[in-house]
Amino acid sequence: MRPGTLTTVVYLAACAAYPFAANADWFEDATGTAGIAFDHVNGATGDFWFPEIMGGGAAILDYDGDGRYDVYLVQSGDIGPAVEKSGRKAGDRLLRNVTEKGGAMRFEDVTERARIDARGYGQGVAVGDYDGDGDADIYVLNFGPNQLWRNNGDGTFEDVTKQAGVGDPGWGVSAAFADLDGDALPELFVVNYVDYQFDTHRECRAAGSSRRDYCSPSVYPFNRDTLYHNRGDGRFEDISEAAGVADDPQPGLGVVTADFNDDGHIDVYVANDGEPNHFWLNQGDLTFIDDALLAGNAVNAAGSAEAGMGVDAGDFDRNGALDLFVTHLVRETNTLYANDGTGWFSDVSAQSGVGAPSLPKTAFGTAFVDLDLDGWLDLFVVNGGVTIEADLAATDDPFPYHQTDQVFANRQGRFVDVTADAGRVLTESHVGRGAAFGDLDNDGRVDAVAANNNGPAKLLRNVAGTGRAWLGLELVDAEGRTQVHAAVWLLGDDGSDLWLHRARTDGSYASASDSRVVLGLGATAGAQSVRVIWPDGASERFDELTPNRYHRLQRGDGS
Amino acid sequence: MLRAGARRRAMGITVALTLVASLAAADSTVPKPDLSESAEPVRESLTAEAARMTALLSQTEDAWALASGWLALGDSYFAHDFYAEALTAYAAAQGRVGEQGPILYRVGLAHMAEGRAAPGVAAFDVAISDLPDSLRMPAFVRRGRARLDLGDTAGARNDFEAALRLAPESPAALGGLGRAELAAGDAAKARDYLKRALELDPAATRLHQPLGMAYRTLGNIPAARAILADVGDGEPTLSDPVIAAIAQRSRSPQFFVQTGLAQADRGNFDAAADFIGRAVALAPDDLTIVATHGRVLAESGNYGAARAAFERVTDADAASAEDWLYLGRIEQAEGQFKAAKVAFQNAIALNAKDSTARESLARILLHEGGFDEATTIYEALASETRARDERGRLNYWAAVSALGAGDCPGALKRLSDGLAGEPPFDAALLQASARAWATCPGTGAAHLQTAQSWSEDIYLAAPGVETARTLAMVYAALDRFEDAVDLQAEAMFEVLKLTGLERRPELQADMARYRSGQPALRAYAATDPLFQID
Repeated sequence: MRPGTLTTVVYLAACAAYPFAANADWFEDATGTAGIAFDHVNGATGDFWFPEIMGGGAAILDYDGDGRYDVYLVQSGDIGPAVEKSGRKAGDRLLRNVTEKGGAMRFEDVTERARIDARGYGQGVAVGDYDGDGDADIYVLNFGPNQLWRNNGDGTFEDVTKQAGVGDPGWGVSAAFADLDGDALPELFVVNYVDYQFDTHRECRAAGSSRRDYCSPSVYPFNRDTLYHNRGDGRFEDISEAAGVADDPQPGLGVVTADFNDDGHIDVYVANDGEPNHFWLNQGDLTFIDDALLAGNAVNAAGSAEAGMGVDAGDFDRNGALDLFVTHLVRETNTLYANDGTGWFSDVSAQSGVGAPSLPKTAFGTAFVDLDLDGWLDLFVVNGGVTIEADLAATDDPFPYHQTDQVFANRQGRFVDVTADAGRVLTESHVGRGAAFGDLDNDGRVDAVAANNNGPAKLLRNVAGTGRAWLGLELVDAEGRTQVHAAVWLLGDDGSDLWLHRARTDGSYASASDSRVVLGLGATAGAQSVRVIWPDGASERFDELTPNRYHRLQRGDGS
Repeated sequence: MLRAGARRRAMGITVALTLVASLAAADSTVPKPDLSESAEPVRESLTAEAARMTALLSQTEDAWALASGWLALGDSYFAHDFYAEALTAYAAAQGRVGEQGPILYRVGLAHMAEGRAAPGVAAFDVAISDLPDSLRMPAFVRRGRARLDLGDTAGARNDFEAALRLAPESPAALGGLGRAELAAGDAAKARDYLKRALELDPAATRLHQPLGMAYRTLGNIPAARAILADVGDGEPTLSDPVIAAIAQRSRSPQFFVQTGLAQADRGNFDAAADFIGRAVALAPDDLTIVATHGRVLAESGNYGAARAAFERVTDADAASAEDWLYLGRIEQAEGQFKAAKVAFQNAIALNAKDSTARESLARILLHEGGFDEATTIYEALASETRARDERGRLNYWAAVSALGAGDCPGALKRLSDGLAGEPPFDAALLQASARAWATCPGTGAAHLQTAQSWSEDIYLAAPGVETARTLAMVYAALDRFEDAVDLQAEAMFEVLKLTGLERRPELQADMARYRSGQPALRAYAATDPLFQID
């Protein structure tokens, strides 16, 4: 990250100055052709058990190291006091990417072959290499104890929850692997929601109606988040209290980790539902201080604590600092907090154009992604209600919570809602929850997997940015292990920093994304140079990178 | 409310035509929302309102009479969150009498309630110049807020300034202008407007956020932290006759409950009780609302009415743990400790995890002298809590409860847990530790020295009955009996002045021991005020 870039964002008039013509479509539905047939089941039978309405997560990861990114989908299943005792449920699915080079995307279900047997009431998923062996492990968040699946490196997984000591029994939705103490092994930060038990279940009603509906989290005690310290021997230790993150329990749903204040330590930002967000600033000794209020990212500009669901971090305005985007409930804006370069944020939702179009939606999974490869980070948001949509209910819709997703194009720092022109698949409505992002066909355009609650998972193939150049980067350390939290500056001809992207798997809602970095280059087509900032702050330059392909940048190979 | 002869304004044509064109059929067809899931009073009221409008359409051709009817119907729909039907009704009113500020203002409100800022602003644009000042002021504020949502900072600033010209002391206008100035980058102006708004309406705690950001921008970090520590949900007060009129049409018990709870959030418990009382009148058999009424009545101090409400709920076996908790608190406040104990036990029976009910029960047990049972509860609560400060507080109560029972080992363990964290420690914890060390057998010299140091500091900082008594205990444990007698006499004199010594026999007992060269036996006697409930 570039420190102290205090450039005031100038929001330029959107379309007139925009140098690239937009394509007609941004996404096409590739679910069926890719062989994905996954229906999330929430088990709702009219009792309105709270976890029914929250689940649905997805991960994009290369579990078998073949360079083709695979998909993990979280299942929920039956729910209720009786089901608790009955045992097995449908279970999560692992879909292996078997796409041929240049061919259409194809996936095959390898869940059993991979020995994944995740049958909790699933909510979300996180991905990270917790044991430092170079492959991606999977952490599944449940309503009930979570599970850690260790990747054996041979295409199979092993449930190591007990040995690792990470079976957090709280109701977890999102989690993040992040090296918070600089020892090259990731800690695990688990975001928990509320203390919900069937025997303390509350009956709630739709606003102004006698109709049963799901409750707000405020009727239940809040759960504290859990920070697991990676001891380096395959085991974790719950240090939540000593670290300070247990001090203020709130109903957390989304989490993103990054060095927001450029002090060399990875911080943790948690989106809380209806309560002020947490901005856990890493003090460098595995203790954290929540400074969200002063940092300006606890509540919106009006002083209102919003219903935080999903979250992502990215440099949308190219000032070299990571901004935050948090998704919210209907009649609340999704909120864009711009980082001034010092770790202080301002709510620029209105000025940036993301605020007003989000008011009619309840938004969950999201990401800053340069969808159209113009070098500016766009936003994709999946939407779905948590309380009954009156107009759907009036038509006797059996599950009246669905909404359409949204795409916001970043036009030089100002966002434009381009959903109407983004493709027919964006006219479909679902109860959107998780969303994972990754380049599933390795064409340089980041695709999305939407994990819908009580509905089909959808694979949205990105078809935007046709004809534009890109640079794909896999960032690995000297031992060849993926380096999330590394950042990449694209360099200009004069060596100046142009724009910044970061490697990550966390963010969004209940989901994990492709750890690679794709830099959109617009019309630029020549060999490129980048500057990589490794997680410990060291910087390294790589030159002569040919566009329109992926490069593996290994620490120590640059200059 | 409707004004005849309104002239058509060029800026309003687009909005008006759009509304009328899109809803052309509305003028003769009364919109009817799906009321199948609505509360009974709402269903009855809206069905009657729609029938009244249908009848009116067949009875008269008078444009103004029909427009008034449509407006009333629209307000009723609006009051019950049926915004689409409300918009249809308002459009029909407009179709009869042309553009009218009050109608378009309502159109703007309905759009804003649905989260549609742009059409909301468009409607306000047309409405504002055709409104009386009493409506123009809130209209300017609402359009300003909508413009802020749309990123139109300059337009928002103009609106809030216009609102201030009409109502120079409006917290809503000042707060809005402060937000607009902050968005425009003038933190000093923002600070001044927001501070003034909060002076006028201290309950507008949402304004703490922009004020904190203004202080931050100005480099005054301590002020920023101080104001941000109390960010809340309080909206600045905005007087709006249209909203008040619409609210009057509500027949939704839930509306009155929510309005009442919003008043309660601002600390206006009497008003809250009135609103929720209206909800009870609309839905007398809804025991959830009755219980909510009871809670607000209890908060307002009207224990008699609150008790009556809770008795209805408990008689019907419909009380939640929270209801029993409130009832217990009422009983406790009225000195009915046995009844309070039963109520807290009932709350716990319904929700064994209810920490508030458990602690309330422990408090009663302390009062009754049931120290062992109280200690068990406090220990369990301390072991369950994940918050450090809270655990320290509960450990303290477990310790003093154990001391009340004469359980020195148990008390010392709890106090040791409490002192294991990071200083500074609460004075009550230090005082309890000093007393424990001074009265428990086998205390070492080092602990007694620490006890002396702490209790002297605490006494000097806050001389009084209990601090003098603690120091007397410590001196006695150190064989400084003359000093102990002096301090005990001071404590007894203070008690004598305040309440008389008959309620504090332990003071005289300890004095007798000090005079005979013996240390105190108990850190806290059963008659200690710490265990009493006032």
